[in-house]
Amino acid sequence: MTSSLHTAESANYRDLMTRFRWAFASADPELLGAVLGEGFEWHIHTFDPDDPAPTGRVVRGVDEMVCELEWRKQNWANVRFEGLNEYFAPKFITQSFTISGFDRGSRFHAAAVDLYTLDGSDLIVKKDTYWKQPAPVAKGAAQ
Amino acid sequence: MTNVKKFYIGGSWVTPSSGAILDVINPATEAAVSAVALGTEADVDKAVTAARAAFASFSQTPVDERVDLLRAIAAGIRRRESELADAIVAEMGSPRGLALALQAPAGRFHFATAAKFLASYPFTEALDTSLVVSEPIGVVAMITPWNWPINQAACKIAPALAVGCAMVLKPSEIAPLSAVVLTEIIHDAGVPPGVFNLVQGDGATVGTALSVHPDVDMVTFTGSTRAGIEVAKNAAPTVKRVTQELGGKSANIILDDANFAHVINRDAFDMCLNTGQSCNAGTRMLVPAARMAEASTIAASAVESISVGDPADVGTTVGPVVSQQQWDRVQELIQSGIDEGATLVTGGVGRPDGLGRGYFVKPTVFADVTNDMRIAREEIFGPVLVIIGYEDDDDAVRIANDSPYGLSGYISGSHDRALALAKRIRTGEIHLNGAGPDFDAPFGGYKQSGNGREWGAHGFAEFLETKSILGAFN
Repeated sequence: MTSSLHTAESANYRDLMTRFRWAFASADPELLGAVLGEGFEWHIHTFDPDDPAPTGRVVRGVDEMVCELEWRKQNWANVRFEGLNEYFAPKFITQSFTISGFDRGSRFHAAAVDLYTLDGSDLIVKKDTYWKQPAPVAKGAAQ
Repeated sequence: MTNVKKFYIGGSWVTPSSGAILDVINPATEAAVSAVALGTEADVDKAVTAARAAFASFSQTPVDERVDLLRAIAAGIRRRESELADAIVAEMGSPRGLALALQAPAGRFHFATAAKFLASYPFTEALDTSLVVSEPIGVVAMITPWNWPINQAACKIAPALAVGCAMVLKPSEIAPLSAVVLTEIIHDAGVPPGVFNLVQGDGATVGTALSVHPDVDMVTFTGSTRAGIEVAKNAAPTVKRVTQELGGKSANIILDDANFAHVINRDAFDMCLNTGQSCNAGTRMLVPAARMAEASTIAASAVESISVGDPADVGTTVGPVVSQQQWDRVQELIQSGIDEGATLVTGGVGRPDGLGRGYFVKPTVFADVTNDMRIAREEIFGPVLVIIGYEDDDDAVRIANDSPYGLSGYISGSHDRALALAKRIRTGEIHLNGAGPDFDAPFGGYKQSGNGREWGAHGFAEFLETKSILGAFN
């Protein structure tokens, strides 16, 4: 089951996540500001860009998120997201997907789960990112 | 934008031969935001002459040089993506988010992909004592549409440059602004003079002049099936190669073992992106007939949630359609659905509430549609979803294939069953379970959706001639 919400509510969440994906892909501060709430935090799966150990770090606010995304644009290549599924619950959205690409020439491939927490205005206030590498990918599971 | 009233020929921005201009209309405001010069046969002849002259040397350049050029263009697009996005928002009404996230970067993806494949592309093949060589076809005319203006131009320019062709681009006169930025990027990347040329103008004049020109070896066209047929007719007397990426009316089969709430919500929403103005949009949703009511309720909820409005507003997901002509056509087809007896579930004719100006359309869902209705057969090119019932898998395949088009398709449900059905659908691509676009994979249509393939390494083949050198290994 993908949702405990009424269809109309999950459709609203889909609209939000579409605009979030556009904002994420473009790293545009205005687009990000329109979907992120006060005190936004992104809990990333690695400690820092040079250390793949999954000890985590926190990016706070639009400006830091733009910096993180710009860093990725400068250092990552051929990034591909596949098999995206989104699951909606009241004030929470879960994504599952695989991500692959090259980080400064080294190939990466991970299975990922992201958990988004929404505030009372349905803006994203937390993005918790979990990656598991390397990932066995079972393509085409039924949805 | 200083170069919008000029053409790019022989490596320079030049003054058009005629003073004719055409206003560029922002579809969200119905106001002119710029004006573009309209080319003539004389302008086309200059551009083709420049391309022909450049072809002789460019076709002989080492692969490494062309890889570097493609990478430089991709980097240039990245640097100017914001400008490209602004131009696209103004000229065709794409929401700014979509323009920044996909419309503009799509161009970069095609150039980067071409560079990747070019580095190891097999231009020669040994067959016993013979050598088979793939050579650039020559001068290519490119006629591109307004709906994905940078994507559609890039997926032609990138492979043509990759294999060593010279070219003349005619973008849509409705959406000419982003092509000017792209041309500046190509110039700055160091593409040799004459290899790439830009002539703005309408299809009747510039498109026709390119299609009939005796020194053009190939025409690659993306647009309507009607216009594509005209291009092919015009190109026939000089026996040009013609590739066409044309219309679509793609079926989206929802199998009974799919998660309806998730899949229909997703696909009804996705169909509306770019205001339904994508040739590969899944506009015919096929659902088990017994579950029509359930499917239509989910689809209606999905499209009713969509934020329709000013494309420059960051809260907008769906903007206007591109023009008054397109708005009129969408309205007429929605009315035809009502008149032919389809059930209007949501949307309908007229503008959405609160939007009195601009070419805005109500996202619309029709249920209980039969495949003989106009809304099921004609490409609407607007945010209009039609839901058709099917009895079993064979019936779904029959309905999906009962279309003059064959561009794309979508199937959701258990993987093995969906994959088996995909092999029975007569289209150039099928997306299984929500799979997104793949810039490495070929894109193109069966039937009246076109000829030839674009994207990735498969796209190179269209721009190549094949030569057999017999006795090469004696």
